[in-house]
Amino acid sequence: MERPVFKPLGSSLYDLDTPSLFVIRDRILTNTKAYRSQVCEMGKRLTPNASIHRTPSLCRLLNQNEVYVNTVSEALEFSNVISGRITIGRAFQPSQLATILAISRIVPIRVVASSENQICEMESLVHGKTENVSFVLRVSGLPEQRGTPLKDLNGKQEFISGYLVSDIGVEDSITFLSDICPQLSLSGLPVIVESTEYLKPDALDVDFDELVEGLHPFKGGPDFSVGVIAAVVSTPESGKAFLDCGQKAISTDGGVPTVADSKSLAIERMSAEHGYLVWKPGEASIGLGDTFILEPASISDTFNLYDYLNIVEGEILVGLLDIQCRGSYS
Amino acid sequence: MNNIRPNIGDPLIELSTPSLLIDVPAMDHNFEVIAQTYAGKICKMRQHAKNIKSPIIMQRQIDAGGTLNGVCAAKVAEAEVMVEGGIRDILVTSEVSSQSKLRRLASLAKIADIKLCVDNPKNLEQVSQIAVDAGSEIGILIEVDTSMGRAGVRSPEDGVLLAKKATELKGVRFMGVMSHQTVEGWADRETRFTEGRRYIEICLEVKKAIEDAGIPVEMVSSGETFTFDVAPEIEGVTEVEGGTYALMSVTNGYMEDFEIAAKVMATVLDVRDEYGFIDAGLQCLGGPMGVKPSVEGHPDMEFVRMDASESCLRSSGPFPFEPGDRLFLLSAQQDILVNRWDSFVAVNGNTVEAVWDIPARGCHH
Repeated sequence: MERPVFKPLGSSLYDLDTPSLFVIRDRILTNTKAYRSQVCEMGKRLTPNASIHRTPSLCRLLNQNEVYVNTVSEALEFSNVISGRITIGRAFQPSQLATILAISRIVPIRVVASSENQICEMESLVHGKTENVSFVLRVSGLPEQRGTPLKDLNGKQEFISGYLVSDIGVEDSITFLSDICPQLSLSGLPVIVESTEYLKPDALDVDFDELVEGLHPFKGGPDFSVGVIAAVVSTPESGKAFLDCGQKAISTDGGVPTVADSKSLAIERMSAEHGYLVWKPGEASIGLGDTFILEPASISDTFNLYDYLNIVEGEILVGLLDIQCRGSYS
Repeated sequence: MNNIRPNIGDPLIELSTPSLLIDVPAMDHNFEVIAQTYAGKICKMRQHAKNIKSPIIMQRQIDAGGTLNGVCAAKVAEAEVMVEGGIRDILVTSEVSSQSKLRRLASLAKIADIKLCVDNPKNLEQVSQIAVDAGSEIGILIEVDTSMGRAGVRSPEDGVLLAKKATELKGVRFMGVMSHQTVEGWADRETRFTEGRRYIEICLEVKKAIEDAGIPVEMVSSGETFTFDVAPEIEGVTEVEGGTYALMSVTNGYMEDFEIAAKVMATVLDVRDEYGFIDAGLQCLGGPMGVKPSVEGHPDMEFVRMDASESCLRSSGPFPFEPGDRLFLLSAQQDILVNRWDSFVAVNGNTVEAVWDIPARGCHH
């Protein structure tokens, strides 16, 4: 696992061992509060997607008491920290029943299944053992989306406490949701929208009841709030430097990162171990050991690369949290 | 980390998914290829820890033969893990500029034979000073850029200047030169040999210039998986920095001597017509810059989309699996894949033979 030279709280951000992942405390708090207010004002419920940050302790900081996660093993970790309901984004396997029952003794669980058959199977597994597990049916609006196609919903609602629709793979979320959500609302059951990118507040006009969204603490404001600090290890030629942060320390699954607060510097590409920092001659003077903040193109995947999350405020280290759900894939 | 860990002897079918598997016979075959290739040669393999990140597995290659009993590490933290795992000869193949990391390395050099690559005189002075302060000695290799436009000196003259400086400074010992290189796309044997030789010759030009300046060069560390059989045929190369060959990836499939040994076992969550949805996504597979894995035994199947925790596949006809079925994914970029897992499940046939931790996973520092 990650083995940084730990620095005491109160250290400068720029003294952290590189590369290190950090969030800016006041910015994520402001973003979270503002987004929650906007969702609430529109009469909707916000369930944070905690699989984005995978850090149970961050839920406390962000006052996230009900969360959505992707896997049962993540739910197990989060159940130790939060007291509200945990929604799990896919059906559990029979071999995971004992874990589900254990979690349900601590917090209510809501499981999102792809089909009514899956729900019936899971219901039969938990029947008589717990009252703390409910089920939501995932509805698919596109062939490439997992779930029951909208046209195949048969009106039977036994064991189904709501419908969830995702905007995954959709080019225009608002148009897509504006089409599918009103049709689901006719069922009388709550309609839940799972947003996979940062859902801008203007999409909140659409007719649905609950929003699952996890990027708002990190993307909801004008300034960056999550970054990886990296250092220059080689300056072999003019206009080019190599950072100690590559694809293993910042995800490029969504593209190369950008250099925070800089118009003249760019990441040209990344290898597994290094980032290629470039600039036009004369626009920068960069030496060995200089540090830079990189903004990840994929925040969720970058959280999954680290075991520790540094919390900074005013460029000072104010906290260090375990990313306990890193690697909790099953 | 994952809170579900299999036991030795468990049947494969009972493992939770997704799981990162090592096909032990396939990996041992790859190790045996190396042992045979380097038997009786001056040049030996120095396996790269950046790919495997587990000293238990690195030691398995050392035990099989063909190596010089040492390994490469990409980062200082990775070197620490290897030393803690019992390996005592480490070459750190990335430049290190941070004072705290150099202090760690200098401390490590008290209990292990540590070598570091450099490409900058100021950095070399820094390494020297910190090693002197620590009372240890760090071996120095000069990195040569041969083709990739990455770190490394750009000319033999720069190499000579650095070598001279390394011989003058305390706390460091000049040992030689090293280089990385790569070949683009699907390379046939002729391309591998032609391109590989061309790149390695650039590194050897720097070696010759240093020797012409009267400085002995004892190490030339060059080559990698695609030149595993090229480099030992080139006079002057003393070791090869290979990593991918151990577990292999589909993008290196042109290396026909080796077998793919790393696979991710996933479960089908849902099926609709030609589409299938599996419980393995970007976070456990990695997909740097859009690179996607393959489905073993199903070359017609493509990844339509990789999401954080699941993926959508499309088959050329009706999807050939049912919900709950298992399938095996082959990585296109193996070291990115391994870096996302905390353990390997080593399987032989359909049975778990061992669970090997990956202690250097996440060792970015």
